Amino acid sequence: MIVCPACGHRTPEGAELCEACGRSLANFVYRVCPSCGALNSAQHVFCHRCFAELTLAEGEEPIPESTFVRPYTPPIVTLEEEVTTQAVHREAKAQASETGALPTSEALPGQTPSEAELGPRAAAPISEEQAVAPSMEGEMGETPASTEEALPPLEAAESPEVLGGGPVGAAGVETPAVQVAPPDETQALTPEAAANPLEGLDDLLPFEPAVTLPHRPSQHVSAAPSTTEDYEAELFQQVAVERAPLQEGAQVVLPRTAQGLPQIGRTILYILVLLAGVLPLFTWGQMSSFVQPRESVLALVRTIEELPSGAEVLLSFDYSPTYAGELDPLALAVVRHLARRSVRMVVMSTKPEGIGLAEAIYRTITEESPDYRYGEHYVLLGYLPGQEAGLRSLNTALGDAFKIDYLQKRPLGELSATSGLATLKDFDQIIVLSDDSLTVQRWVEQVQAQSDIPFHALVTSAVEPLLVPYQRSGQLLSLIPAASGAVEYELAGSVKPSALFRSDAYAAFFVLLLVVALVTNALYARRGKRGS
Amino acid sequence: MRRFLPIAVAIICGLWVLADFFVSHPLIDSVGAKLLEGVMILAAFALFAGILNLLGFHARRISKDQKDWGYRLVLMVALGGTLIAGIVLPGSGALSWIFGYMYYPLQSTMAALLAFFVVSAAYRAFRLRNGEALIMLITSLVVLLAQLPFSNRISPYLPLLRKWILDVPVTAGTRGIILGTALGTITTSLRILLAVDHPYAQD
Amino acid sequence: MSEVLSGLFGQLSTGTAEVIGPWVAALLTLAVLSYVFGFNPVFRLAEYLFVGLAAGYAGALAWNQVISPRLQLLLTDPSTYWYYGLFFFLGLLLLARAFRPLSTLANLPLGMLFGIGAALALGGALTGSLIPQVRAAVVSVVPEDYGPGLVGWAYALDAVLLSLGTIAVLSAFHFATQGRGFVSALWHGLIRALGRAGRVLLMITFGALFAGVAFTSFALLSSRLVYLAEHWFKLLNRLGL
Repeated sequence: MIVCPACGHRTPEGAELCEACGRSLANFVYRVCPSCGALNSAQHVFCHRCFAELTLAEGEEPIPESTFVRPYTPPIVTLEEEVTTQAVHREAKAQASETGALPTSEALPGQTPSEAELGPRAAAPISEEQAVAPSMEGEMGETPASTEEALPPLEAAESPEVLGGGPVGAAGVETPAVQVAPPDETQALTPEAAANPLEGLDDLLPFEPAVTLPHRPSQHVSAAPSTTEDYEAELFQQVAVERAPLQEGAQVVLPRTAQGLPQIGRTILYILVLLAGVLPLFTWGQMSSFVQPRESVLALVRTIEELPSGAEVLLSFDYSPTYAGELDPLALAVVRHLARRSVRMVVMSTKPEGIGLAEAIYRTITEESPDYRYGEHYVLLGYLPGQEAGLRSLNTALGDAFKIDYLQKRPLGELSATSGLATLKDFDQIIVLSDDSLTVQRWVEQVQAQSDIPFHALVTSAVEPLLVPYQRSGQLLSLIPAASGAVEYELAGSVKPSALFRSDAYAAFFVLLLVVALVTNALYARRGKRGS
Repeated sequence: MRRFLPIAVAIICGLWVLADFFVSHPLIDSVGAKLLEGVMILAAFALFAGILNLLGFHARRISKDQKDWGYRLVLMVALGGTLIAGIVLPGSGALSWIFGYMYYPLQSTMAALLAFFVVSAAYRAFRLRNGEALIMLITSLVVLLAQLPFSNRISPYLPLLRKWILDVPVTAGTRGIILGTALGTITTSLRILLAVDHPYAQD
Repeated sequence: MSEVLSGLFGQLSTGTAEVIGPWVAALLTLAVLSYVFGFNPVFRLAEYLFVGLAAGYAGALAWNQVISPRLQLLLTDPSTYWYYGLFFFLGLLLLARAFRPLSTLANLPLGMLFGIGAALALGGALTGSLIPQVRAAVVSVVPEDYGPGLVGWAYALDAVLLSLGTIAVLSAFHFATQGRGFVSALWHGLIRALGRAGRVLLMITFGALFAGVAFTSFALLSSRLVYLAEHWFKLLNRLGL
């Protein structure tokens, strides 16, 4: 039965396609034995377990079981019998060497004459059929060891002690010698019984069955361990259990807790972080008088100041509430500035949460300036899915990307702030607020590279270093980190301050990190001195 | 045929949009725009596929009565409630309320937890084990100090030093990374467009 | 029907919602902050709640902003917007991905998504990143181009450092064994030296990134703590304390 390599279904021999899935069986890997069900490799002809023929097709008769060569099972011999017969055998050899005659053995009580002749480990005689090797016609095309082949008569040969009997082996371990079944007395030296080429040899080589029989794992033979084996096992256990003294190159590995911050230290650190965070509530912006806006912030302020009234600016709130704590103040400052300049703002987001954040920002603006009306001064377009595809669709037509606005669910043409807008080219500036460098990169690749609209990125402090190359290449006109940028923008843009007081918290945080750096290195140096 | 059709669609649509990138022609632009809109629609459906998957996953766990079934029930109720608030009650302000008073505080506070662990990580990261650690420590402190809004008052050279650090070594580092990732993106995209890789056509 | 329900909900809850909203926000903030003391059931509840809200919010927006308006256009003017029907059909096939026996149906829309996504990524990376960045990396090293005297020399040195630095960073990611021959040995040695310099530049970059991450995380914490404190102050004010 062929095992299908794709689905594992078993198809009868001779099939070209699998019965279940219809795939070709040309490159199958496994066969199943029709007799015992064992899994065999595709190259095998006979089952490795029961030696049945694997390639049996339907209707074919299998090879008669009587022709199979059975696995060899040597007899179980006790230690006493072994020692006794070996002693007898040695004595007989010694006599023979003195007299020059072939050793003759006398049968010990319980032994048959044939056993006596060939030594103690005489196994049960095998029949002629057993002695015939299995048919290898499938592979070799001829049967070996046929009775027609004339083999020279074999004589009992002397065998050195190292073969087959007695205490053998370099370690003095007694190995149970594997015996071949001696032929019957009458067949011992005749060509007809010479299918086994090593037939009749005394104290045969221990690996003889491997020569005559099909390859298979050797049978496990139970035997009591010898003294030497016991000794060796005990020695191994001692070595395995004992710890060897490895002084050279030894490294002392400190327990993990000793290297990290201890629990009390961690608690103190967390409390300090908390105190630094709430400091602005108590100091209320003492450091704000020292704030001096950086060049990029001043450049954005100038750009917005130079926008004519009624200019159209696209703002994209591409950040999530995760980073709203840092970006919201800067977003509020920029939107306040744009609102003061009477610039029309069209707001969108490529993240679902971004439009909710934008809605909250503009609610604050409309509460501060009731004249600032939705639809007339600003429009929330909504969420744009599809990442690159959504951004790229902005280049073609705004109406393709946004069918209706977010708040009033009206087509863009019905709102005065968006009625004149067809494509991105109708915008004067694009400002993207993002917590992710990949989002800004997408904007640059899909939008900025396809149009020459001035592009500004207001990002988190964590992301700013990753986008500096785009600013250096001129693709981003402004790149402002939000945490300090909000504080500086409020001052430079003269907008209502809401983040200015946070400068105290930032100063405290820096001092805290400096202290952490000093303490950790002091402790590290001290531990290093102790260790050395 | 089962695998051939998705691969053919991927190649045809991909090559059309790629042509739209570089060629300006009314037919190519028009079909390209429709394909992009199609992707936006499919992205929205993909969101719903994810929601269905999430619901199914947690529903199975609840039905098997696993020990944390209560939490999963809360998740499903929150999901269902938000969907109903957004789809069935669109103009009521319910979705805005959920976003402003539940979603926003939860997500923003989870990120705020980072501050504790960043400072705790700084305790190990700032150890001067070798030259590279020293470079990292000095750069971090200088950039952080120069990032403060009043750094100019501490020293006028601080903002200049920060600007130099960002403009030269940091630009060199990140530009190398950008170039490497751009080349990798181009290679991967070409493999998909030439049907060498088709992860979407697995059985 | 939905308009009626929306109106009813709006009338009933405006005042109540604004009163209980900040309390809910404050309690959820504290629930998440409790993680500082270790993983606990309150934090876990907040976690699961957040996942449900996030999925529901994204789904609601996807329906309201993307699917619903296009569906209405398809139903009102099918001759013009016939292609929306095709995309909706593909979208339904995509939903089959959530059901294992039918998941192969989603291969067709996924193929379209992958193909178009790959094309956009290729075009964008080439025209938006690779070419502009390579162009920006090729800068003049002549001091006179930047200004007179020491200023020109300083900028020229910066330009050399920038160009070499970019190559050094790229060399730091070179993982190949040395070939045979003198030229190969020389090349390998040069790349290795440049790679070491690149690693120094990368450490500077990581230092700057760490500073940014630390600053960002602290800004977020400060924002939440101030929000909490202001909420409690308002409450104390209301109670007259």
